[in-house]
Amino acid sequence: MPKTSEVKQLVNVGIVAAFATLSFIGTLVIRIPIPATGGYFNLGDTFVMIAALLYGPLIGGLVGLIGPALADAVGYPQFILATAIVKGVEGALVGVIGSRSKGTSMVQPVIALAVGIAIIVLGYFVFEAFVYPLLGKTIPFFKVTTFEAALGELVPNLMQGIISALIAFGIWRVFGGRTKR
Amino acid sequence: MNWKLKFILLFILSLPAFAGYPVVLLDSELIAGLTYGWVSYLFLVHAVILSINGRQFYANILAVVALISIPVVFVGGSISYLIFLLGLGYESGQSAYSPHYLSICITMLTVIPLALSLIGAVPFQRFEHKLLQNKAGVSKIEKSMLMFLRVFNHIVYFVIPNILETIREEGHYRRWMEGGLRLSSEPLGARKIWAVKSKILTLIKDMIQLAVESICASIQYIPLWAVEISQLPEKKRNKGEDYAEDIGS
Repeated sequence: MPKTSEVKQLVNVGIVAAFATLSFIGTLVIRIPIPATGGYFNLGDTFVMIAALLYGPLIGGLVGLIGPALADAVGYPQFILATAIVKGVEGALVGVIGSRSKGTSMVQPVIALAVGIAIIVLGYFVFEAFVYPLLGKTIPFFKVTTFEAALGELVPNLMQGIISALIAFGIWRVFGGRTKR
Repeated sequence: MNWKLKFILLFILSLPAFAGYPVVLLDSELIAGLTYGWVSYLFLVHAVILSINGRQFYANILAVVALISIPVVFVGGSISYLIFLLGLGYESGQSAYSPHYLSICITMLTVIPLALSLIGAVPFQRFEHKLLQNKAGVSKIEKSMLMFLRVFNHIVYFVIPNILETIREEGHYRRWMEGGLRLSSEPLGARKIWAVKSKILTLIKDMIQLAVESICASIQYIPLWAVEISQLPEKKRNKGEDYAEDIGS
């Protein structure tokens, strides 16, 4: 007889693998460049947000940490650090707020997705305006953005967050608001 | 070549892409946006990949690189050109953004083949087979790894090709493009704004449908695989752990 706890743990690993892979593919295939910074717009966030809403902060955080960072490794390695931290935190916080919603109440998921959008916008801004220029002084690899370029990416990142959140909310509604955890 | 040796060689080769050195030392420009350092590094990377992976693998990698980088570089260039034409930026014209896209292009042409070769060097299928055949048992970490690999392979080789086939069969691309062409010929006004809004909503609905289909197809076998993998024999622990467990009970 299989041990229930072990099966549960393996199911969780499988869920993380599934959403991280989907997020990786969503980030990799749909890449619309942002001229100001050399970054790009993508829909990988949708899978981070929906994983967090459906399965909670741990799975959401892990999906955010693994999937989009893997995609950045292919073509945009300088953004791996920012992506792993920003999306990891995004997944965890969306999960903390959104996964506790009662029944099919929409209030908490909407707040959670709004927080997710704010983390994407502010997180990347902090990294691109302050952290990368600072790191770039000693490591040329990180010399990719400036404060002005980071300002230029605020609107595209906001759009990316809103569209990803809209799709994630639609998916959450399709799945009946919540799944068994 | 042994896969571990291949992996180490590719890993060492990828270090300049991450650290910047010694590529940045040759910073004189061939043309604006292309430095001698990056061009030399690009040729070195491609020569090594071709020699250690063979022609067929190299040809496949080139196809994937083209598929990913061409839209990014050319769409980026086109967006920048539109910004310039509309007078929203890049006052000095194409010289303001062309070098940027050339450097992105050269980075992608170098980094994507490296990343794909690194992934391709690891024999994931052999790992899975080896773990399943292992008579000495499988540890918990190995079971988790097995689960991760199985799900990853299932999505990459079955789910995504099926979704792409669905998009093609149901004519999603044609529908999106046709709408776009009709809209661009209309003058700006309330009707056009309404049409743009409904087009965006249709696009989002299609995206939701495709995402739901891919999620369902991706997670449907996970419970079954979890039971199957959990039934693999546990790796025998050392005597110390058994003794500690006996004392505990």
